[in-house]
Amino acid sequence: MKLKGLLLNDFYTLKDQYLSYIKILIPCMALLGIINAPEQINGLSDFSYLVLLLIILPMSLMMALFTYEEKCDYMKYILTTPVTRKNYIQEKYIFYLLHIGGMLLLGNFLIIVFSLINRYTPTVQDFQWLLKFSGGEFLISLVFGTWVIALSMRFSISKVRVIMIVAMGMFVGITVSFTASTMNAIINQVGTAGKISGIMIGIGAILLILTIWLFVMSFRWAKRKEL
Amino acid sequence: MNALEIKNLSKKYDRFQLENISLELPQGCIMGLIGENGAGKSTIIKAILDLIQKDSGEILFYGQKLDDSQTDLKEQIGVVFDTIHFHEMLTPVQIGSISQLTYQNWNEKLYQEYLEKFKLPEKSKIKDFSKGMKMKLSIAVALSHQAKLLILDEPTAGLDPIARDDLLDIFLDFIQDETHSILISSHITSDLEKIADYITFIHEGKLLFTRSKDELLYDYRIAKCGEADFQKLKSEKDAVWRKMDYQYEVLLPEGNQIESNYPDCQFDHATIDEIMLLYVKGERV
Repeated sequence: MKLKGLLLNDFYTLKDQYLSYIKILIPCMALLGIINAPEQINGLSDFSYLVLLLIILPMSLMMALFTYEEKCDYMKYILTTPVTRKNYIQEKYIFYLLHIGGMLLLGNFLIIVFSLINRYTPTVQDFQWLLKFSGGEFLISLVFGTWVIALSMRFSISKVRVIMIVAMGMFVGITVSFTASTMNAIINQVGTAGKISGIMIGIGAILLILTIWLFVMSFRWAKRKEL
Repeated sequence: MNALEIKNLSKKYDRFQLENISLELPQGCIMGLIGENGAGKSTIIKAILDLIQKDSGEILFYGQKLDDSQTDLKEQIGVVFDTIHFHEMLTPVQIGSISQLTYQNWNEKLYQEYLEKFKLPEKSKIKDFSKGMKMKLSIAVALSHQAKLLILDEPTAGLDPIARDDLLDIFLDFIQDETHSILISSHITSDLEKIADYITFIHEGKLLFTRSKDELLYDYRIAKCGEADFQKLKSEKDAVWRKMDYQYEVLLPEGNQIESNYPDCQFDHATIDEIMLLYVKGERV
């Protein structure tokens, strides 16, 4: 019950953000779909940027949510109600997972729609690729989302924003420099299990360990946080 | 039975510390916390609500220890801070829906009655509310889950006299049930003079006194006198004084008993404001 109340509060809080994203992103994506539609479509992967665009959104929404909460000191109030610090953090992860799931579904739906608009009928291999690609995207999104939630329990949201920009920049920079490949290659490597290089596995392992540590710490930091 | 009991509460920050605060709020009473800015009133309230980690001490609600996991106990406490802590884009109806899922004892009918009584538009966003309306909304939420103890941190700050009077009436109404209690911190001592049963004075992180309001207002006297009388008065029990341009002002906790011994001095009843001022700015033996 309590988690439902917290979730409802977060959805209401971000209601205007959702509307803004719909108003701005949908036309942008449609435009991209038209401009970037290849003459010769080789597969659904030609539209992978749609999911990449959408998967950034949950993290951006989480940062917006924490910004609002910090502005109105929401955590200070909610902890005076029958909500525990653990409930508060649990709800944030559930809220985030719901958003990643939603955005992946929307992204995949749009990929199929765009391919059909371009008169390309997806094959079984396309759907297999889409599944792997979505899995990779889900993991990356989960990693960065966990960082946002955990770091928000330790630092102010303005600092978290800087840390996340630096972290994501480093992630992309290191990956590109080590693999000497383009962004497209990274996307393909993440999406295609067979092509994942040792460096990618190494970076992935470091990220995963760091994320698990931050997940555990998010509960500890929330417990110690003074309001 | 005490609604709230604080035993030897201490909390140390870099530049400030709460030192061994102990107080008891009996059931059915209103206790006002007074003190200058930064005296430690809000820190005490945060410690009571487990929003900060105390260094030592014990806090009991109806005899039970409150910590983060004691959600049943939190059901019985209504908290109002000096500002509303819901996002400004929310409406009272949405806050009702959220609170219904948060509190087991949420009474939606009662909440609707409060919204009506306080003339709060149900579907308007909080951002369009005045400060007084926001405070009334916070109070409506705090009163709609059958709380037995209200903890209010500067709830009347920044409000006009009419809005303040409305809120004080609400608090007096709440206390009509003898199982209910209120702990209220405020700078506006005239508000506390109207509603409080007890006054607790915090100064520089220390508790100076907890007295009944009647005792403060009827027993305490401020003597205005010259040098000769001052020399005798300053040795009276717990006297506090300050030198003015042409005279001395001496605060005497038992002034009602010694008044007749000083026929040349002018004795006045002390207001809570004057008591606070003299304790903060005055000198003592």
